[in-house]
Amino acid sequence: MKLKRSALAHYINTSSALGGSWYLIGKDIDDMSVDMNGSFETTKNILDETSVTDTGYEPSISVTPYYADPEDAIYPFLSDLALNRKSGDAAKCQYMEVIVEDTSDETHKAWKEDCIIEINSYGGGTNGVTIEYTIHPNGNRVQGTVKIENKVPTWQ
Amino acid sequence: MTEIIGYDYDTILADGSDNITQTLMTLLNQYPGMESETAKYIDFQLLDTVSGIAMFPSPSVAILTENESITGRVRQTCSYGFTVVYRTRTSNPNKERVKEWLDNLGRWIEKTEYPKLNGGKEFVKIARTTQAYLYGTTEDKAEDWAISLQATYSNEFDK
Repeated sequence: MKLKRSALAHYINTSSALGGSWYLIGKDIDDMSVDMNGSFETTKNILDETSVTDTGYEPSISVTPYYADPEDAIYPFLSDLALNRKSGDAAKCQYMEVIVEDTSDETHKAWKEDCIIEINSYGGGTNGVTIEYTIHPNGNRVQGTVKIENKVPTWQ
Repeated sequence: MTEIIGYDYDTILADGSDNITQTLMTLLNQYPGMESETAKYIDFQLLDTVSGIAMFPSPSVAILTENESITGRVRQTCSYGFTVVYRTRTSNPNKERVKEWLDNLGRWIEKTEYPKLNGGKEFVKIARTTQAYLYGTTEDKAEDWAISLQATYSNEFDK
């Protein structure tokens, strides 16, 4: 049976302390994907042989919309980046993906890595204040497992 | 005409109470204009033979939109229609005052602070869909004046 979209969960941890809390991305988003931005070059030689050169991926995740809510754990971090025009080290945090292939499993496959947040825009229309941003994974990707209890994931 | 995509029958809570109707009844009876009326209370679907004020809800609560986010969170926009009927004697010389009273009720409810709802529901807007109008006359020489309103609320839950 195909996986529901909610089976693939995306989290951000903006806490600088070890562990920290993971914020689930996507409560107002009905479509969001990891753009892999692969670099594949196809060449053909004089012998009509095709070869492919692969220089890997530069993934990014565009999060839009995010409706600013001061009660969200992620709000102070994003509003600080946007309104104080911060970047560099101030924009670093961690990103995690969890795939729930079977809801009855005790633990689920997960990957976490460093990332940098790019603020694309803030403001928006009359539905509410939006802060639109892009997550740029920035290395140190590791695979592990998480346990999810009461919707809170804990890295094992 | 707004398309209806379903019906929200979960306004009835687990204990059998209907949170939205109860909340609207409480809100209507907070209308400051009640103090000047002989009938000091807006009743629920009950009018006397020649007098009274009562609220009549529409038989169904329509779901107008439904969106599911990638986290499995569902957000619906629902519509609850209702009518407030003011019954008065045909011989009442101040019938235009009845219409004015209902119109003022409609104006007041649009601007007042909305009460809280239970179960993931929240009022978005309560607005008039008509001005006050003569709904009909009864055999007992009474006239029913009415105003129709619509309460729009959001409903969120995890699928």
